[in-house]
Amino acid sequence: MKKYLLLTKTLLSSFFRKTTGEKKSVSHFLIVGIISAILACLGALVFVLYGGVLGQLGIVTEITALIFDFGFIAMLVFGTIGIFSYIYFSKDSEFLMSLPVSPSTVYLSKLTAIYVQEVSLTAIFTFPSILALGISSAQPFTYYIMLVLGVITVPVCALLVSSIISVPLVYLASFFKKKGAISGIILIILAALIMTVYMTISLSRPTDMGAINIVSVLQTSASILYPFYCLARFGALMPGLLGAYVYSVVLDLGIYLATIIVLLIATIIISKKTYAPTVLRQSEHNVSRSATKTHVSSSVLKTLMKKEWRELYRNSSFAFQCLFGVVITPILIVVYIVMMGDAFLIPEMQSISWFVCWAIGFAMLTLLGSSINICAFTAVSREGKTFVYSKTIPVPYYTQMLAKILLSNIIGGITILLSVISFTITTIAYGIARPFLMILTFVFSLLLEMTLINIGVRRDLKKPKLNWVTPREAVKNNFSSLIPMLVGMLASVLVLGACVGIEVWLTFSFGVTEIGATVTLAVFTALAGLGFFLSTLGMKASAEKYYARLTV
Amino acid sequence: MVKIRNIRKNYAKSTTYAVDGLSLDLNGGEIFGFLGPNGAGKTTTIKMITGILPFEEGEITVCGYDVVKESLLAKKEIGYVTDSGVLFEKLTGREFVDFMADVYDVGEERKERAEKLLSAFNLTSAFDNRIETYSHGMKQKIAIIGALVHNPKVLVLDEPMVGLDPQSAKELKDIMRAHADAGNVVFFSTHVLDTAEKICDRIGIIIKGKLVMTGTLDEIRSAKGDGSLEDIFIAVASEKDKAEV
Ligand SMILES: Nc1ncnc2c1ncn2[C@@H]1O[C@H](COP(=O)(O)OP(=O)(O)OP(=O)(O)O)[C@@H](O)[C@H]1O
Ligand SMILES: [Mg+2]
Repeated sequence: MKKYLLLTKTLLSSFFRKTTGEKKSVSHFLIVGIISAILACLGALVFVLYGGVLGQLGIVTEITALIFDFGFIAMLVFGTIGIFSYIYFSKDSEFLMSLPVSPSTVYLSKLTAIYVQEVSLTAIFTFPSILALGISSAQPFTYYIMLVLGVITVPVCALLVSSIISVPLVYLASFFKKKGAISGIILIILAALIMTVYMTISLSRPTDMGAINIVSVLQTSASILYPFYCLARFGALMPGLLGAYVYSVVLDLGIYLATIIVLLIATIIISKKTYAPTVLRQSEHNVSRSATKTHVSSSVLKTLMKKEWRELYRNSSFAFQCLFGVVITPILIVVYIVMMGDAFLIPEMQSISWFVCWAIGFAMLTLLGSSINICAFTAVSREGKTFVYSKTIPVPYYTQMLAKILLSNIIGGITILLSVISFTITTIAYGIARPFLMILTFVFSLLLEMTLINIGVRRDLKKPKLNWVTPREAVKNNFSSLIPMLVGMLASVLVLGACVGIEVWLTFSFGVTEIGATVTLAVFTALAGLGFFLSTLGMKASAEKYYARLTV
Repeated sequence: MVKIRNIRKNYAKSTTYAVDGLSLDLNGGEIFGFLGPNGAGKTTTIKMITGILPFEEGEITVCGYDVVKESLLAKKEIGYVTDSGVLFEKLTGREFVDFMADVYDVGEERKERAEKLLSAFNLTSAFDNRIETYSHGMKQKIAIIGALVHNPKVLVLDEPMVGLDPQSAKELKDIMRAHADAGNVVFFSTHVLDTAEKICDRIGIIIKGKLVMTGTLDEIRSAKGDGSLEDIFIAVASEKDKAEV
């Protein structure tokens, strides 16, 4: 226990400590804080406005559970990325192994460090939303106990689950040379499996069309991650498994706490057995004893891009962080739409289901696909100490930046394309496809992405983090790189809000349907095009200037 | 071929200069050894010559190109091996060499050059392995090959002998000699005085940012008495220390 605390403290302080000579940037911190607060408030606003109505419908418990579910899934994603890069593919592993500390202590310390690093990410969305919901629907005091308990422990559950599923993933990946890429592929297969199982279950359920209503739909959705449903029922003091509701509420709390304990014990046991051998396996490379290939010559731009790509995908940590979006965005779009799928069958929903479905897909596409482009946001930082080559080679710096921008655009473009394809297929499957809107969505998210890439690369060039030892440092705790992401998220939320607002306004005031969102999005697409143009000019104007300021 | 005029550099606007009013001419065909105690300013000087580090005062030209104003043209003539052993660890040796060759516009002659250097350094069999799997000395060798693949007019090496086995060190010395004999400049810093004594045509000693002595070995001997380079170096260094007090 003492060693666990010591190690956790050391890991955290070395993570949050700035590299020597780096100035603490208050303005960046402020911008990040303000944008996060705006995003959080936008989420909360919905519940302030509609909390009362949800209370009357009797679905506050279900909504609460679903918000926790959202936090859980988000943490599952970030946690898995964190575990891969910070625990399994980290350069300090061998050193930590040489310390007189048991491997499972090292493992738990690192897990704790990841938790501390990531918990704010989910809390920023879950806490204000649930708080607003609770106040506006006048919940009992237990609701607020649940709020604090849930915001702190739901991410713990997610992290424990990802730590368990990471074990087979890493183990499988370690058989391959390109570990980073392979882990990604294995994740796709895993996600596809879960999807298939879920769809089979939900399709085989006998559905009586008449009985479907919003409450039963939400109850089904909330029951998927059952322990969080229990937690929400405890908070709202709602009867659950047992009729006598005091017992029922206590039982619900018990189920939730027991889940955490079981997960924790499972993690400890598994990490004891697997952590050390798995981690040591990572540092062993396949080495061939003879050289058989031939030289390949390319143009300067192409050779720079090849170098960028190889350095990216062959570094497990970078590969995972930069390429994860390509895999996860298309999948999450389908998952979220399918989760809401039953609702589309409700008769009252039928006329607006195309729109709800589009809004969900659009949110996912722009928030995850367009806004998060780690490849661009760390384009310069990823070079680390090898930045010295950028300075010595006789290539204009703009060309070097162009290689980075092009590579980011290729990765981002594939993400958007795959996501739009999976989005389109899902809407066709539900019979609610709107081709023109879909094309606009594609163009808009692509342009938004390209603009953010320009901004992101430029920002990273202005203030790169070159002095890193473990690759994760190049990506994490890099406030500068967070700004374009948050700007993108803010833009996505605002555009979605405008589209929804205008569509609803036209529908209810004038009875004009299926026009508002399309026209609004067309306007924003034009604006995004302008944004791309301006950001390209900005990049051109400042690349050499920022570059000249950097020293090694 | 390389002209350095009165360069000065202070890091982060500190009051002491890391390099202070250094002037030097390097001519084709010579190996120039750059000696000095730790922290004397060798690496700083090298980084200024190679156009990595900006400087406030003075001027450097390489093959007639100003390293600040015509930096790309100047860089094209330079081959540089860092002292920190920084490499693209995720590339294989061959990919790294191809990368360097592409960047410096080297055509198919890369094959012949690389192969010659590889066999000299006994690195051929590891050429298609990732650099992260190399030992320290192997990394040093691949960095040298990368710097030589475009046959630079000016070869700059920062402590190139560190970590090389005796055989490879010998090969490197031969390569440096041959490169200089072909009419190029070889400029390197080192702490190994025996090496410097054996292969350098000229030697410069830098102490606390100031170039206190340059010349051929004979010139230095005649100025400072007939000792070994080691004796002279230590005498010069301690003299300078006393003068400071
Ligand atoms: N990045 C830096 N920031 C501030 N000062 C620096 C930096 N790099 C070097 N210095 C200072 O500049 C001076 C010269 O350093 P330099 O690296 O050129 O020495 P050197 O002769 O190469 O030494 P060594 O033999 O140890 O390699 C030293 O006093 C050093 O402290
Ligand atoms: Mg040095």
